Amino acid sequence: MAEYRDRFAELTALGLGVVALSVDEAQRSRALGLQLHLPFPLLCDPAREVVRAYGLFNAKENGGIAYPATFVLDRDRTVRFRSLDRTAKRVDLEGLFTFLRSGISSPPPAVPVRSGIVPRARDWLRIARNMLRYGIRSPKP
Amino acid sequence: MTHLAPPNVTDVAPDFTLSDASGTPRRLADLCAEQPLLLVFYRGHW
Repeated sequence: MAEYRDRFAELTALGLGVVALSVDEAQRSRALGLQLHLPFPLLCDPAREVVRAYGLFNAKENGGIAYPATFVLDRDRTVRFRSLDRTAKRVDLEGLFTFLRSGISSPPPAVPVRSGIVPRARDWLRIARNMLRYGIRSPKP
Repeated sequence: MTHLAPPNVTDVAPDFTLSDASGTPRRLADLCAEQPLLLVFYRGHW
């Protein structure tokens, strides 16, 4: 949480709101927010319903807590970036910022699909037609 | 519902309403509507 606080100005400058969520009840969340001087709201999910709905319920620790995870959501709640960490205690912010600086509204770069190396039948037809039209050799410069 | 997976990129994140630490109800759809949102799940129980 402290890292998000430390980089909150950058996140705001990039046009993002920030909200954090845990299974802690309101009193504990309030204490944490005050202790760490957190500039963003802390949402409380003591019933663990949201944590379960997001597939982030860690039943093994402390009576059931959230696995750490970070999502960048667009205005229609579409997930643009996701970072899950089931082993370490903290989420790495560098990956997040690399993504954010590349522009969160731009779609992921399209990977051109290679359909194959061997020309299709229509390609051979086109080649034959061009050979008949223009000859085999390229025009001289 | 069991074994839900975390929403992936291009999925729509499930909407919800939770109270914040001050007791104010906050709905995810409303939080996202103004600007893109960073939603951070943390372990709690610190």
